[in-house]
Amino acid sequence: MLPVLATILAGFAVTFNFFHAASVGPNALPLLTSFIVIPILSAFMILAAPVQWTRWISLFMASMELGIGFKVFFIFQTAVGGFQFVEEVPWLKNFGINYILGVDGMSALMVLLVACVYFAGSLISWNITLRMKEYFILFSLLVGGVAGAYESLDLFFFFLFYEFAVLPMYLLVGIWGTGRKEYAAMKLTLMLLAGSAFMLVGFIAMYFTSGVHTFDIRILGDLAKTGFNTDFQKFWFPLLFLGFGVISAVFPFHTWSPDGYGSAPTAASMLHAGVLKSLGGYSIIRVALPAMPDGAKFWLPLLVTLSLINMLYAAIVALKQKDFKYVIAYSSVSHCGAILFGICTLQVAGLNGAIIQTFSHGIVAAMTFALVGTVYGKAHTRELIKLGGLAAVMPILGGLFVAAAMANVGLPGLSGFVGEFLIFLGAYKSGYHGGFTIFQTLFPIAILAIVMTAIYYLRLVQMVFYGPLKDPHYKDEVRDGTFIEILPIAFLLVVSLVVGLYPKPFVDMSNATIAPLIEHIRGFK
Amino acid sequence: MIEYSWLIPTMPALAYAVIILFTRRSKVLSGLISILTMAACLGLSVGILIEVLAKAPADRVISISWSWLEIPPWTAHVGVLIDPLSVNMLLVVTLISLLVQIYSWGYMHGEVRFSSYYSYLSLFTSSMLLLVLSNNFLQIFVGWELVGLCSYLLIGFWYFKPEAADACKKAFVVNRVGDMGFLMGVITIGMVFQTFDFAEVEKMVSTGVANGTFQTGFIAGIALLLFCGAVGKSAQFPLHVWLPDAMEGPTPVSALIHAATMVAAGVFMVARTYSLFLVDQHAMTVVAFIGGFTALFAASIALAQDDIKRILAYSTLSQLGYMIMALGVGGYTSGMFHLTTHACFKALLFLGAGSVIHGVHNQDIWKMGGLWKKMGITAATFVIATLAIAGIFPLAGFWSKDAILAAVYESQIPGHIVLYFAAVFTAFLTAFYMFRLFFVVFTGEPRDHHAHDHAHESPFTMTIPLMILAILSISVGWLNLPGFDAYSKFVYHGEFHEEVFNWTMAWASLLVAIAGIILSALFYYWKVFSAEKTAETFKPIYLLLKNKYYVDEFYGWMVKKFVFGLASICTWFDDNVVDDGMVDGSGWITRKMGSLFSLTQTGYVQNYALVIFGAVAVIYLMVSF
Repeated sequence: MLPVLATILAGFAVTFNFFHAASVGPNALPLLTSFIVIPILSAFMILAAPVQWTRWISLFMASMELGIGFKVFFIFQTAVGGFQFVEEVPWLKNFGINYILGVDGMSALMVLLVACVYFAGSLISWNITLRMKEYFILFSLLVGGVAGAYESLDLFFFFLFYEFAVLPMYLLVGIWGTGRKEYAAMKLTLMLLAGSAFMLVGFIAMYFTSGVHTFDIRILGDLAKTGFNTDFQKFWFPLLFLGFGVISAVFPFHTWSPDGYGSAPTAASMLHAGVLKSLGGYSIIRVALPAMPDGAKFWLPLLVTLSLINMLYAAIVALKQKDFKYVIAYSSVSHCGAILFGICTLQVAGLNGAIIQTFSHGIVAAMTFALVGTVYGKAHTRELIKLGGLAAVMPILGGLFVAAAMANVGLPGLSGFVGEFLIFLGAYKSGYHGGFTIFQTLFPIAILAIVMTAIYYLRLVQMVFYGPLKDPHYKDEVRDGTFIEILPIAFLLVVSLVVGLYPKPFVDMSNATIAPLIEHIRGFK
Repeated sequence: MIEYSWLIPTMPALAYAVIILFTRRSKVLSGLISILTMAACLGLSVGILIEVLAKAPADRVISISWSWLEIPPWTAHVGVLIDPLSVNMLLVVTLISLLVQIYSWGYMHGEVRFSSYYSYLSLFTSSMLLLVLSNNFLQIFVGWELVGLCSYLLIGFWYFKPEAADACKKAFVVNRVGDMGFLMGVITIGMVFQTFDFAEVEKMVSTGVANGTFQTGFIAGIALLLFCGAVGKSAQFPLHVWLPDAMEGPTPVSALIHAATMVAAGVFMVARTYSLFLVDQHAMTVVAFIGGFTALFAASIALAQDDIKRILAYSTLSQLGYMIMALGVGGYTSGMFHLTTHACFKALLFLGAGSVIHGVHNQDIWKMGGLWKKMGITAATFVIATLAIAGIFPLAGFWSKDAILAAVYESQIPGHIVLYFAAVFTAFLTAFYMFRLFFVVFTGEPRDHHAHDHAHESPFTMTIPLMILAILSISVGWLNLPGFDAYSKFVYHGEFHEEVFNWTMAWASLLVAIAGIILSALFYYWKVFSAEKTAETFKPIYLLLKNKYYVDEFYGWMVKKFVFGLASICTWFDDNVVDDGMVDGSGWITRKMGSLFSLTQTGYVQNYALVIFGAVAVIYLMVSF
């Protein structure tokens, strides 16, 4: 317990000393590049160091990463807005491909999210025994890729980092997975790559049509007024949406998600569900909406329908699952539907809700997967029919699972409520002032999802933790979570609580991105 | 004191955190922290009451806000609203909480999760106080959901019992259904008025309706959406099904949450948002009839139940229906007054029932009997509460129930005479089934000798709260003695106007109640009539009542057929169409295409040469023509 805490503190201490001047001086270590480099560096260090150092290195580096995450979050100036901490290095200048990093309010939240999930994932993988070194190397590379994708302001690098993240995922599922792991790994990777193919074509189309031959997101966003005419937007927006949508498991391209998460090792499902999946919604807000607002408006009815199907359909399917982890996986699909629904409102409240929901879903899904993994590690089965009454032998994990369930259900006081509430507010507003009347009728259907979520989560709590202890062997064999198992889950719960109890700083931050974006979108029509 | 009012919900929340994080291992410490915090909250509440009373009636509304979330044009606040209504609720909640917590010390002794129990109670009280003190729609919703969570945790406190595990889930989900409407109402308010603040919304509604900006029907729609939440939380028909099942929780919890405070939150919420309801008479009529129907409906079910706690649960439903009906007919003061008196005598009834259960370890009234001699204090306090709920002069229930009857009788809504007779008949039934319960449990010969021999009076920690509540059940009603009217002059909506106590009506209802008691005595005390034979004679009716009009069965069937049926269809679709069909299908097509084209890879050089020759020939032909 003490060495773990000491390592975490040491990681923080290093961050706060080394990156002290990062936000001010030109000679300071670049904060955002460090955020990408640290996990990748961690992979190399693990490669070189003796195997018994592996998890300590990972924890130390993850703590540093978390320190940077906090730093970005706290230093970011909401009042100023725009992209901050920008780092620009010319790369293939003639082709308009440059290494540009920068965060605005929305991506600053995502940076914090990545850091939190990386930190928790490092801890939850503490007791991995099979090929520990390789596992942590791939895990760290995965984080590096995701971190880069969230910070890139250049579509080329965005794409590069994204692909960089998908491949370690394939190996993580294929080697350390459970169940039909080869099938799941293949399915997940192929579907994600197919999605990214659409994405890439869209990027290239934007690149050539823009007339200025650039991949710079900031410039492409402004081109919506001059460069991309309405026909272009109408044609390309759905392709981009499809590409990004596959990442976010939009119906009917969602089936990689339950199989993938069902098979993936705990930390991999945490990172994927919490962070990589959120990239879909994030990219729609970052790339597709600013560059093609007319396209978005044109396709809105279809997109709203898809997102609603995601929300409700996945929730209904979750009701019938027989595997503990599959329920959570479908729940994650359903929550991503809520994010897309929020985006489709094209309203300040709805888009802010979508971002807060992205953050919240990242934290909460990671927490839930961490719990499922821990319980699975103890009970050695995930079949709901065989579990039951586990609260008697693992009261702390049971209590934490109830908390996680409530966060998923959207209980006020935890982060899920803030996002959902804002999304519904935005959805209603979309309908209220003329605009897209489709929302007025769909709004109650969307709210139905919150009832469905309550039903399947409480069913899960009942089937796994409540009732009499089903397997009497558990009485002697199963112990409650240890310190190292509880720590990451409790950490994520605290983050969710903070957002739920005092959402103002988080919403202010996301609004720093959304308010100008909405102004920008309103400029059309 | 008022400037410290924010401490009232904060302190129990801190107590919860401290118990969960630090003192979980020490039962004594955890219990003490929780009880002392509650005592401090009660002290603060009394201080606030004194301070508010010292002010002139016009200055009694104080609202303090802090920004919680800002998205222009909205600012959501956390805040505290001190006015007579919230002070009334503050006192009820903190007082009953304190007494129940003291009582639990004895009732829950020996419980392994004693500390968790106290932490949940603290969290509950905190959430309830957050709800009560709220000055805006969003915060009241937040508190509303949080009390729902605590209710879930406490109903499922003995989670290893399958019934408890079922009941807590049911309670949460049924409440969620009502909350859907509530949430839609809150969002609509946020949308239309661009604010969540009660006072501002109230102002905008009154000016907006006056100058025709808002149609009254629209406001009524919002009010009814909010009312959906109240129907869920206050367990009104058709969302009443969760409350009887909630009796699976520990009995002190039933007393606190499912009788005195949380279930009254729906009534409180309607009172809090009363201006929206008052705008349109149709909304009021709906409220009044749902309340009146639930009162009669639940009272009739209570006639045929055998479980001591379930009888009390149906009685709670019925009394909540009374309060809702009172609000619906415009009897704001009488509804809130009944809430207050009911909190005292219903908490007493439940705690008394708990004392009985503690003594005989059973909940079936037909296994009890003759407990009067064994449990003197419990029996004496129980009879006081029973008289109070039956509405016997001069106990608390007499004054509050008659205020409601008078309000119904004098109201202007269509069909109020029907409601009046339904209410009077409910009063008759209430007296009958409550005394049935009393006679069967406490008088006559013991039915189960083993249980009877084992029975004993409860410890002091349990009987002292009983005695305090008994005193309150007698005397709280005197706050509103005709001519004195301390309560009516304190809690009212809009302008205060004197109400003359209607003695004729009071005597009439008293006679009805006494008739109910006498009839009950004829059946169950003197046994002039045989209950079994009557049940046999009216068997269909008896079965209908005993099975609660089969509402649970109907809902169960609906959920099974529709929700799970739909889930089966969707799951099938997902597995077979989306997954096997589209996803694996595209993989299959790719593989087949691969094997098809692989036919061309024969490995014979002459084949390749043939293809090359053919291709060259084709290209040549194309170019030359």
